[in-house]
Amino acid sequence: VRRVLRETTLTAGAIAGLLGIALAVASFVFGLRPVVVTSGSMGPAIATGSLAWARTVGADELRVGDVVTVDGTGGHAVTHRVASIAGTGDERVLTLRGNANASADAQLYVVTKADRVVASLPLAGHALAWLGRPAGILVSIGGVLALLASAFGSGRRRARPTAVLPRRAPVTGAVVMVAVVAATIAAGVSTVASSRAAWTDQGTASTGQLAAHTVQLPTAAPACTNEGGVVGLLGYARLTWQHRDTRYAYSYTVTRVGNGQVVASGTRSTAGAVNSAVTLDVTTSLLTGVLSGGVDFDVRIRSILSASPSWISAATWTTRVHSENIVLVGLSVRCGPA
Amino acid sequence: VPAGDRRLARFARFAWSARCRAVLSIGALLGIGTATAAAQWTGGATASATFSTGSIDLRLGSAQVDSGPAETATLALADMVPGSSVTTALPIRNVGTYPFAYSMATVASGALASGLRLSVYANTTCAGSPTVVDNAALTAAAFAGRPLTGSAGATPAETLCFRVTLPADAAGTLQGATATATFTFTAATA
Repeated sequence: VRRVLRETTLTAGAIAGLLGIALAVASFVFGLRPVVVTSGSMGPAIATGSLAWARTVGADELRVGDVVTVDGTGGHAVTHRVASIAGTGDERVLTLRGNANASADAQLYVVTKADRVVASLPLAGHALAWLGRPAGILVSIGGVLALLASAFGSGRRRARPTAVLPRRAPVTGAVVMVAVVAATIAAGVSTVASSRAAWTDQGTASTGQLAAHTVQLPTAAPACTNEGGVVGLLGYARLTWQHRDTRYAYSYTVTRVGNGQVVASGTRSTAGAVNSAVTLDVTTSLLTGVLSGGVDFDVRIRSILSASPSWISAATWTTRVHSENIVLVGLSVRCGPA
Repeated sequence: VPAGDRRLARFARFAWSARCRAVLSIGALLGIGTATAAAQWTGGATASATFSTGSIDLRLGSAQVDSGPAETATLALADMVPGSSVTTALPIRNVGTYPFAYSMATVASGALASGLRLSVYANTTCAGSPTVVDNAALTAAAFAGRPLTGSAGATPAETLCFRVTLPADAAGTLQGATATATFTFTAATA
């Protein structure tokens, strides 16, 4: 049983050794670089704990759909699929997305070259991670030393007389190799960079409808009534309309019909309730510079927001009045055209 | 037997010898060494080479949905005049297993959008100063890299208060205009 166990172990060791040598040579000759995948953001294609092999290629060789390993912020590496490529020349701007992520990475990666993943092996990353740790290093080096010892050791088992290699040389060589490999592993472990976060998730929230107010005219045209005009009192026209909205005030302009000259303008505000009466008295003193009777004027009323006068109704109520010389009263203003 | 075949047989015997196989096994160390030395760690874990099958999961609103929480739908206001504002409190949670930091971007549409401002407060009532987004144009309102933390043992969560305002100096040309906005929250492992 011991013999079978020893033979099996030796054979397994030799196979592992050949694989290891092949791997080292392949890495060197083809420029393949191992990538340990430590999260599931590329799942299920590349699961957590996979070992991927990547080859450095120029940015111009990258295509959408390639899985690449690039440096993210702070020297952390990210392995994600290329979602889109922008740019020309040596540089490319990559948008990356993990297979399992709902959205692309927020960060854009500007690269001149990237490591394109050519193959991946599930679970091998776990194994490599373990082997790279102190316990793993001890076990693997110890295992190899034990094999060497059992093969070259006591000599109780037959040393082959036809052995080509001198007896001491392989042992010395092996010790040197083990030392070199152990140092390499130690250096490798100590230089492994911490990796960047690679999971993303997205959520959206929408507002309802936000709508701005539209400033409206009073619902009905202002009513015009003739006031005063008896002996001793000047006559004037009174415009009356219903208050439309408590946020409103009303701007008015009085223009001379014919030449369009603005002879009066201003704002009427009210503290009244909605539908209460708002009045504007068009008197001769309002119409500065009007000296004769028989002149028509248009009084234009528009609603405005009293707090924001630039919010003004698009439409206008227009009421026509005229000046009139009344006997024993003098120059007055009356409703309607002259 | 030709000399060549004899040499081949001798080589085969040597190659299968215990010593040769033992020496070959050193190659395993070479492979491990090469791989470990050159390996790049990528994904979502750290230099301690821990693996994780965890995830992050951002949820919005008290209903903990991925999109369309009821809260922001109440960010609606008809008949806005300069000075009008509307607020809502939006809970944000991470129901996954990794901590994350998150960002928000806004896409707004409608003629009124250009006149609206957004403030985001780190409290539930929009009280005090808006520390997350301070009175930014709604069309460009955004924040980034906000870690979502919670009390120990509890699901990481926080509530932000959103306030949309039509400023007092809004132009009269915005009368009757409308707008809607969509806030996109993107979480990434911290």
